[in-house]
Amino acid sequence: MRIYESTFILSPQADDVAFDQQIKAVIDLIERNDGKTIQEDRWGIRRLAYPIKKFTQGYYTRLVFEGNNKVLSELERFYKLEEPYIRYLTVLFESDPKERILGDAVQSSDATPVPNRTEKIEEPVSASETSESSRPGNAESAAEETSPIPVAEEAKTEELPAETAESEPESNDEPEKTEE
Amino acid sequence: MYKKRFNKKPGEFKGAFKSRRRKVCRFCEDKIRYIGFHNDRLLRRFVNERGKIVARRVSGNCAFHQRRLTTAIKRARHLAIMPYTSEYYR
Repeated sequence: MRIYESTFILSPQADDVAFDQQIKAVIDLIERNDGKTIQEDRWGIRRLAYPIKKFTQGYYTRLVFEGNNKVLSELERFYKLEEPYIRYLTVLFESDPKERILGDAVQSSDATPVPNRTEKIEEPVSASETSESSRPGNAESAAEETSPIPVAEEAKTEELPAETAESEPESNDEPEKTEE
Repeated sequence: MYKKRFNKKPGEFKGAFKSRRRKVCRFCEDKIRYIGFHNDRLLRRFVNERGKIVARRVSGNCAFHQRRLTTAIKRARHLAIMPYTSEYYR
């Protein structure tokens, strides 16, 4: 049994109820085939970088689950056949550090401003993502590991502070880009 | 997974340039192993205005991280988190 991560995009022409049903259908499929959902991460409606099937927006969802190869083949078949799933990608789950079953920072939709961003600026700049493990906020993630939590909203705000570290070196890039 | 040694120094050029100015891979500095493909803000930094992936000698990444970055960008492109090219909506 390996841990996988499946991200899929649902057609935006649906309401919240329909989204729930569609996501639940995927989870049920995983469970039916001796799989286990570890984390569900919904990004909501987001602007697509390019039109897919004439849509310019889509409802993004990310699932982390444990399963065998049967789960995988069933899942791929399911995505391919069913209409609302317009894009999907399933990969082996990786994370840095590995012990935390949390993905990387999730960015919300371009259309809606993220109020969390203002919090990020006040956070102390951390040199690396790994330093997050020493933060008090990570007591949450430790708890999340032990019990599978269906929705991990807290993952978003927790991960954002790491972005300040990555945006720091950017100012050095511009002069360095001039060719030697 | 093989062990990654961080901060390998870029090799010397034979010829016009002396040994390359120390441009440390920022991922090596932060000791980051995994580059997530959900993170368009980070990934956009390594893509030029036309949407093309920036060369390693410009971005300063080490080979290990550049490869990972490339797969992350390509995955993000597949999921329409990043564009393949700069012009779509006209």
